[in-house]
Amino acid sequence: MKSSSKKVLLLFGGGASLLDRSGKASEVQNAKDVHAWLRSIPELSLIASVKPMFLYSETSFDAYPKWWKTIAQTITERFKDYDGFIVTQDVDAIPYTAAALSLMLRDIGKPVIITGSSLQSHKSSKAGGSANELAEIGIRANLVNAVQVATLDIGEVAVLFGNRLIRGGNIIRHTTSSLNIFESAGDSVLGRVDFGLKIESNRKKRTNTPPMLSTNLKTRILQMTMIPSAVFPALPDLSAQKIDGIFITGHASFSSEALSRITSLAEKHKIPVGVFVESPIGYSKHFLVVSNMTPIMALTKFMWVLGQGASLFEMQKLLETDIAGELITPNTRRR
Amino acid sequence: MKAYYYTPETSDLAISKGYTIIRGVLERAGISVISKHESLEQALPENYKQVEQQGRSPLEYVDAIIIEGTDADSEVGYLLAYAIAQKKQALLLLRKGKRSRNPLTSFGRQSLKNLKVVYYDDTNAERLVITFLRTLGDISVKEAPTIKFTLRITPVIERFLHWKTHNTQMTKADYLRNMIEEAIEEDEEFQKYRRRSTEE
Repeated sequence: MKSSSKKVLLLFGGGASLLDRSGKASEVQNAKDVHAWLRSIPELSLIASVKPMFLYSETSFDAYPKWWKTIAQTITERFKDYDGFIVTQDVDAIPYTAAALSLMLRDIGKPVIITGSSLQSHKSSKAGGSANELAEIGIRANLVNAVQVATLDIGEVAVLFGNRLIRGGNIIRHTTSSLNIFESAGDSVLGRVDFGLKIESNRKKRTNTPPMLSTNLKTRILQMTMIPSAVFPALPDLSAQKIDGIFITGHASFSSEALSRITSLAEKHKIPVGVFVESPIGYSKHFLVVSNMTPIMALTKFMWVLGQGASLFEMQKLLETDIAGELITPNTRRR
Repeated sequence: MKAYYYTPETSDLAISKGYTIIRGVLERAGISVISKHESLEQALPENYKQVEQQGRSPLEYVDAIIIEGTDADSEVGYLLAYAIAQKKQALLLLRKGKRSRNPLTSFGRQSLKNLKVVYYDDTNAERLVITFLRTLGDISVKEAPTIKFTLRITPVIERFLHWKTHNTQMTKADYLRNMIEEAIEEDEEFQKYRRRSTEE
């Protein structure tokens, strides 16, 4: 079969729980589990030659950035050896990982598909109920679909879950009993699971261009939410805390007193401040305006931009540059 | 009953002919045949909203996947993988004499309970497809009579056939074929023999 020559690297980073044929939960908790787990899904070999690589099974929220770097470096080092890459992740981690990899693997010419299982990790040996049945349908189908996408003509980071393939930097999670637990914030559904897998013309096409690997992030971010007329508590000792940046979300009014107080204090400590607004309402020389992207991408891109070691002006320019299709224009914004 | 029938692009005339024969059998069996050329809305008018809302694959809503995979492309592997993953009934037809490889040779019997691979030619395609369809449920389908057979009969039989068929839409040959098919259905020994030879 023509497809058997395609090579796909499957990186395990959590989210790889599935029910075996007897209904028992099976998951990859360490490198030793990988081959038995893969043997329980032999059908993947009909689509491509899948090479597994264990990275981690569970990790704390704080450790995410470390693993993003590892994943990005692993993919870059092996770029020439594979036709596509799959990264399994816990559902909670997927939006962050997708945002980070989109930036870290800028202009990658091959597919990097993030997927996972909505089955809970460490599930009791016998799972049941409609939610788990749905999840079980989901993970096997997600994997089959992800391997297929990893062989197709697509060159970017994307998330495959349920019956949609969505650009990595544009996903938002929503509460639903559907398998489509992610949706696109903009016009960035890149493919659909129809009777076959149909990819859309708006996806970036496959090339042999390796990514511009850029893994530096500043991760010690103080995040504050601004609410009209709210009184800000005293700021922590910024220098003692070794804060890299302050990220402000909420209904930020650029002329608010609270914002002035924060920015002047931050300026004294040479700490950049980013203000996230959905659509830009102007600019300021005192802080960075982060806009036209999902909240998760906004925070991730703020961390990434701080990591590029640029001036405030250059950082603002980078925030406005569409690195990986993450910018949502008014025309493409989902209402 | 709905079946998704997949045929890769091919320039081989013999394979194309096989595509047509197989589709003909499915249609004669009253199967609602869905192909890659139909939109989701056309193919699943009752379920397409559910597919969208629940994030499911449209393949969940068909009773079987039928693939003519001689000139296989990547979609064939994908559909077979899907059928195994979702325990969906599937039939893979490979044309005899075309050096097409059975992609499932390395799979254990357990994985393939729902999957049947057969090698066909123009003479047995119909029988193989019908046999598979019968495993899905109560399918009533008649094979097209293709074998020419000369039978000498007595004047009494001729008078009888004329008496049975005049003023009906049926021909004498139809009447005889129906009688023989009824005898086949009622013959338990022959049914056992037929099942055994199919499994082999």
